[in-house]
Amino acid sequence: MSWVVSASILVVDDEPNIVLSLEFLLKQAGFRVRTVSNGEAALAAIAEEPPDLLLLDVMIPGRDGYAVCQEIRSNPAWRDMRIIMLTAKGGDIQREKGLSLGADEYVTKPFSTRELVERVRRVLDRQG
Amino acid sequence: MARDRTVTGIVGALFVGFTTSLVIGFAILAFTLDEGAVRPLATTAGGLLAIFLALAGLIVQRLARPLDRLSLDVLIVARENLSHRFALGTRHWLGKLIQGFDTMRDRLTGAEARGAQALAEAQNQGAEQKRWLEAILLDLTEGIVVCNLQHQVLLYNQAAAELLGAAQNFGLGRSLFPFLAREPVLHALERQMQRLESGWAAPSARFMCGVAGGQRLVGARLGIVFDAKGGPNGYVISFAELSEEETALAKRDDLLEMATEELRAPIANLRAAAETLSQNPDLPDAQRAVFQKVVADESMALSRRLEALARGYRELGGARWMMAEIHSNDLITSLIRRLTGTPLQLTPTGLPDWLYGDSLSLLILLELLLRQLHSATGCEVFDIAVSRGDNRVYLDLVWQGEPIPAGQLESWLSQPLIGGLGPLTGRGVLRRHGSDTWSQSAGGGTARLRIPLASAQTGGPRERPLRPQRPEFYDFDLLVHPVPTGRFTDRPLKQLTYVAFDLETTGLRPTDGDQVVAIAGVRIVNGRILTTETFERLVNPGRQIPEASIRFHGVTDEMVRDKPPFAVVLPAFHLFAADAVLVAHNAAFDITFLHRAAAGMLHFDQPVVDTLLLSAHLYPAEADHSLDAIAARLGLHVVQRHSALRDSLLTAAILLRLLDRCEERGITRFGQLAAASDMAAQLRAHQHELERHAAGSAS
Repeated sequence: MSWVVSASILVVDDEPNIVLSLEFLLKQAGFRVRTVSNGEAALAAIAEEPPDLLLLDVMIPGRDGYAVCQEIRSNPAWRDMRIIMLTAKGGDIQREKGLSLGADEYVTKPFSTRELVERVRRVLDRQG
Repeated sequence: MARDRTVTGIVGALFVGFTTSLVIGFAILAFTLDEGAVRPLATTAGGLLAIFLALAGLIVQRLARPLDRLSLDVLIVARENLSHRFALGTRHWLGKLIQGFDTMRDRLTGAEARGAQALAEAQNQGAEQKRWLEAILLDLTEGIVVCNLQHQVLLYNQAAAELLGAAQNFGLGRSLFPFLAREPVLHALERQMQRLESGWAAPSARFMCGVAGGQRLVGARLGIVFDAKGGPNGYVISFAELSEEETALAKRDDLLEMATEELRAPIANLRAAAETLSQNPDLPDAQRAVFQKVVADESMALSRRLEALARGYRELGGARWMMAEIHSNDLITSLIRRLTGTPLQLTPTGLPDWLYGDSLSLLILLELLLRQLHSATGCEVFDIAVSRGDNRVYLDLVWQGEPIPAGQLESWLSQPLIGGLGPLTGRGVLRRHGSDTWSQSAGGGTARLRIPLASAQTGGPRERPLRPQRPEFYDFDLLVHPVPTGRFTDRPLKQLTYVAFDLETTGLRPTDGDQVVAIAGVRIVNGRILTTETFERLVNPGRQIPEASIRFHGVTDEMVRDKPPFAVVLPAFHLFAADAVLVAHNAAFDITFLHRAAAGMLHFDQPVVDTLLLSAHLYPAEADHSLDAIAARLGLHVVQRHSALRDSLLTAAILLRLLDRCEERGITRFGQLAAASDMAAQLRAHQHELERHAAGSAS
């Protein structure tokens, strides 16, 4: 369980206000947190240092969340990385698309921050 | 060219000719006679000539001239004036003829008067109907165009000309297509014709169509017009402006997007900030101020967006997209037809189903995706697989190779579509269907592009209500002698070719003369149901079909009256099933009929898999192994027109699912499968015997 607490998380979202909250709460929960605001920056940050978990918004500038997710899953080195998609696209088909392309969880906005932190823990725990 | 001759002229000419001959004759005779004999001859000849001339004058006066006069009068009556009177006086020999002509003229006059009256009435009626039709057509804001099958306009209203932006050049007898996009009309016509042929005629096909060079869209309906013999000889299209409707729908889409997507983000921001504040009462002042500002800003933004949403909603009408029920087979058949002449080969697989959508836009989208897939991957061979999920029908394009990156797929979808659909893009078509698409690995070195679409569960033609199940059938000879597996023994299960088939019969007792009334089958190759590789025939059983068995299969005497007997159909099925493992549900029943009919003529030497026995082996705890019970357990659903093909498809789908279960249990070779089936057969036979004994001793 101890590694879960120290796990690294990359938050990919172009809404600064949500990033502000997520960063604060995840850090408070003991995670190491980095943030980027678009797809290309996310892939660069992952290449630099792969996080244990990615909190990935779907509608981000440049390559969207689906494309980033698919690219991560196509790289064997990153196959074990946990991905939680965060999105304002709430349809069942979009959810199915996200999961089909390799996301571990698909969380629709708005969400409870407390539940999100719990979910991050659960998904990381699954890996452990 | 015949010259007009008068009777008088002809008679005159005859007399002149005759007189001249007579004079010449006398002259010649006079030369040969003595001078004394000439005088009496001349006197006699002169007398005869005088009588002859008098007679000739009389004939000309009384007969020839009146006849000429009469023919002129008759011509006047026939051509100009029916009431013209014959002016021949009384000095003629044509009394009866004149009477006859007069009677005929009077009757003609009467008939003409009656005809004129009927015509006038019909014209009045026609004019009144025309006035009604004009009033109705004029009053319609919908455009109406009636065309023949050569697409020439036979009738249209003012609204049509205005909607088509073609008031100047639109007209009767001209082609419809410069004004209405060709492809959507032809496609709707094709769909209606397909439906007519399949006996599922819907009153009209709904579709969308580009007008004015593709700048605008209209929503249209097409219905077939039939001739007196009931054959199609034209069509009527009604259409309405869609651009206003479309604008409203686009706005509605925007609003929905705002409601479901744009509002989520600010609410999330707000909620996160608020929760951070409430969960952290000891937050330093500076950080607290930052979160408080977020709450204030996002609340304001949220209010503004909500206002815009409410305003937009009030302005909206109640428009709907033009959607209709589509049978996946019809869609795929049209798609394959569109690909004729390209190197692309498309194999339909899976269970056909009804979906809900706009046929043409889906077709154009699928074609676009296939062409792009071909140029991106180099693949020419694709499967198009239909499967059912929760309230959804999946259309999967499957190829050997890697999935397509999401970004690349997105760029394909952002291109405007060609084919008479105005300014729509692939993304627009998907949005209109409430759908999306993605590419992922499909296992075994294949990848797929998946398009989920709404299932037309309630829209499609009603399925036949669940029929009573055929009782489990035992042929102990078949059970005692295990199924020979021959060359198939060591073959992996999914690599075999199977033919799942089903028979419908006049009754349950082949030994008592019951006969086959329908046979259907479908091929399964490499674990895929080949949707279009099907065999389906009605058979004349040579005897009356009992009412009790019609309840099972719905095949009536009327339906098989002109169909061939089973002996004629069987060789074709033998060929269809060659080299394949036969699969049937409750197979002993079908195999018994098949072998009896084939005896001495054909030999079905391939092994047979019974899905009933296989299910009994894999799910021993389940009591009901009927086709419908297994299908319900496995969540399988087949919509099909005839019961034999429906059951074949269902049997095929059940087989594939059961083969998956077999593989999970280590049954991977055909020999193992046959052994498991035999075991289940023996068990069931014992069970059956025990039940019989129990029943016997109870009675």
